[in-house]
Amino acid sequence: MKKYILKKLALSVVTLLLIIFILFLLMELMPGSPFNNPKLTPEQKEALIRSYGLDKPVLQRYFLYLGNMLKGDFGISYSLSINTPVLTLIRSRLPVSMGIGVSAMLVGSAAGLAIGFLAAFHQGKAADVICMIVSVIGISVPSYIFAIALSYFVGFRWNWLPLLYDFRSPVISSVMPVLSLSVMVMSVIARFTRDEAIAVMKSDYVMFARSQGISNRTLLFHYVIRNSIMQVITVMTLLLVGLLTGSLVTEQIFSIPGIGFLLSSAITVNDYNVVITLSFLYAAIYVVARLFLDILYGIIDPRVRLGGNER
Amino acid sequence: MGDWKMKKILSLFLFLTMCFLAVFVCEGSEEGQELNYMRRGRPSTMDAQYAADATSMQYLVLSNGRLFQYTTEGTLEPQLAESYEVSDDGCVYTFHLREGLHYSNGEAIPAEDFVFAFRRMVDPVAASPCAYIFQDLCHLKNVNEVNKGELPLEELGVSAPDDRTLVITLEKPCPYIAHILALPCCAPCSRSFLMKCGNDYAASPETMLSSGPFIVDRYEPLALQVHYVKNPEYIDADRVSLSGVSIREASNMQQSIMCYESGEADVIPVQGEFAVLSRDDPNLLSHTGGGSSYIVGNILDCKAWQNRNIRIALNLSINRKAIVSDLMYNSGVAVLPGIVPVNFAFDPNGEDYVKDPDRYKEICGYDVEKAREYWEKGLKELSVSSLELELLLESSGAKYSEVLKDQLERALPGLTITPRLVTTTQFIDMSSKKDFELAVYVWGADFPDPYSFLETFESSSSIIPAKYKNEKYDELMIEASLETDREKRLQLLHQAEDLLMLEDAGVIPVYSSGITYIINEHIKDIGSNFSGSILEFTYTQKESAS
Repeated sequence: MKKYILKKLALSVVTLLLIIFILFLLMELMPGSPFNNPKLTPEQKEALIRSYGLDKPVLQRYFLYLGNMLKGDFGISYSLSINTPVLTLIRSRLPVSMGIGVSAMLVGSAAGLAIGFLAAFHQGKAADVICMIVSVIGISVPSYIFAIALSYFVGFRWNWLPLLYDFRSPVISSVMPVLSLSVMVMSVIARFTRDEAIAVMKSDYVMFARSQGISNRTLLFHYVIRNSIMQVITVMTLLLVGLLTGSLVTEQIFSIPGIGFLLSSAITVNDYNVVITLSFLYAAIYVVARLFLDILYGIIDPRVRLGGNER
Repeated sequence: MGDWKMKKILSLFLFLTMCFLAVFVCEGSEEGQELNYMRRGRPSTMDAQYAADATSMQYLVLSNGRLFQYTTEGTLEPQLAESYEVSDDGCVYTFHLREGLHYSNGEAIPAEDFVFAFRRMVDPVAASPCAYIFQDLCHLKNVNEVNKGELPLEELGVSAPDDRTLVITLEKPCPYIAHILALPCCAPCSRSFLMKCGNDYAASPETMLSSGPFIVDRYEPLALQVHYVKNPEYIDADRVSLSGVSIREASNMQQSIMCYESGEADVIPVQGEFAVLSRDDPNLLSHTGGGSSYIVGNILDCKAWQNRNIRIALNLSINRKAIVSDLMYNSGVAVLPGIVPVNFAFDPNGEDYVKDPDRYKEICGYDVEKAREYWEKGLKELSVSSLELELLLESSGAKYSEVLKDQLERALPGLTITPRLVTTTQFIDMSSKKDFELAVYVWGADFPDPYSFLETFESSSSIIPAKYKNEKYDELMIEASLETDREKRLQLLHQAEDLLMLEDAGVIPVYSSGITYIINEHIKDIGSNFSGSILEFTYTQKESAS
């Protein structure tokens, strides 16, 4: 098991190093410079490029960046927020994105699990059809459509909730973003839960339990939920990663100061350090999530770990 | 799972719901005398001496007291200054500060803090983008030498003989210096406070010091929302009636309008079709003439642009009125009759600098027949039958590029215009590398003086280099910058503009732009700079809706 974890860990580190290198190359190929103020003279621009070390070769900058990164220094912003450490910019935004992402995950998961099990237990009946229609709509309609609809009706027409995220009232102003993001989560989880629950309910051991006269409730909590939840957790983890890394459009609609907003702004003005650090953060979250799932599978299912040759 | 477990889960769920409702009830907005202002853009810095963009300046004027501030009429009045004198040669300004000036932490503001702020901006180590203000706009004594590190900071033309006197020495007269000194970068900066904060200076409310009517209360770098509260230490605190101000970024116009309609915003800028929709709104406030959009060519590399007849043909082919009305919906925009917009700058008698808007009609009116005559002549001189020209624009100008392409190609047979839409970053990069044939440029004036537009056509200008070169023009501009008589100075600027427009037809002016705001009827007395790009809320009042 230790060898398996180490192998996966090493692979993750190499992946991240490669990602940073590719990011450096892409940044190098991007036209323009981070110093976009038309009022800067060419001499001033050159002085800024020199003072920030951007005149050095890309490989040298790559290794310098890696060295600084190991010390926890991700550089400073060149143009978005002049001279502000990138970590400061991320530190204030990540909790907002995470707060909204995790809330959307919790609300969406709770609703999705309930709808999924309800549909599974009433398979083929009206409740199942309604639940699945709701879930298909939730999956196929992008979350920003719900965001716009909520914003228009709940925020503008009826004036029930604030239209925009406001740091003076963060909880109330997060309700609409959370709801709009949770629709997709709810729909995906409802579908997975329903399919897994139906598969479990058709298995021999559940059929046997049912034939023994075990009540539906006991059947649900003792057999169906326990055995179908594993696949659902996998989906939930990947959905959570997507939500944590921010939803750019939803952030724009509700004016949320999250990291999605930060990345899109940084790309447009060539703020290299911000783009590289955020892209690295996104990649790291995905890599860590995959690593977590790989290890979890390895623990739960030894066949995955042994790969058939360490038997 | 037993019943007790279900009960536990239900209890937890109920508890969480109660908590949420409690927060919902407790989270009240801080209303009252709070003003909510929505606008495009976020501050790139809250360090005043690094703020060279209008957006950052807007956020900074609230918390940074300057020698002058903007009035509700768009003019200037002393803020931290009590009075000032100018020397006969117009190069030495002596300012007397008001008594009892204090920062928000209670410390006194000595004149030396203004000196420190000026030195910070031109310090070569600091590399502040504000240095251009004292190099290009008002020529502070020794600024170039100090900025290059050839002279020490102490040699800069600014000094404080005592705590309440500030002396600014210029190399050339600068009749618009009050507008420069009203910029937040010219606010005082406390050396001791800056040293104490180190690299974190101006990165959070705790590391900011206010000398203006408001204190930054909530801020994070690159914030979408900044909140201010009244500064009790401000010299005129008794006259400040707002308890707080919230400025936040709107990502689009629809969002602003919805926030205004639902009461979440009191002041919003509107433009284009949205300004048309709000045309009958009695609360509309328009400012015109702060910026201009024009087309320039690469005089070094573009053969077609080097030909005067071709330049005139292009100029006469553009239907500016149609662009202003059909594309821009007449919202704060007007036809640009020369390089300086109408209703922008005024002579000592209060008359518009642009005395005759038709002065350059021969060159930049709309006359397709004449345009074709010049076009044929130009093609003959170039010995070609057709021309293909690339038009560089920022990506936000997609519709504009289509209209220009359509008008030019319709008017001039054999002309093919290829619009090249790029990001702002690429636009600046390509124009500074002279990698363009024709480019559409939008320039916002820094002060209400013709010089603000005309100086960008000097051959030494870094604003789109290679767009124009004429030694006589450069000489006239230098002569104007040294002239102390205001009327003579304006005459020289007129001569320079005549040279650029009539003799050389060196630019294709299209339209002048302005800003329109919708302001809640309960809001009174908002100050603004000459172009309306910066609003000031020092004496703004918000009447209760009832």
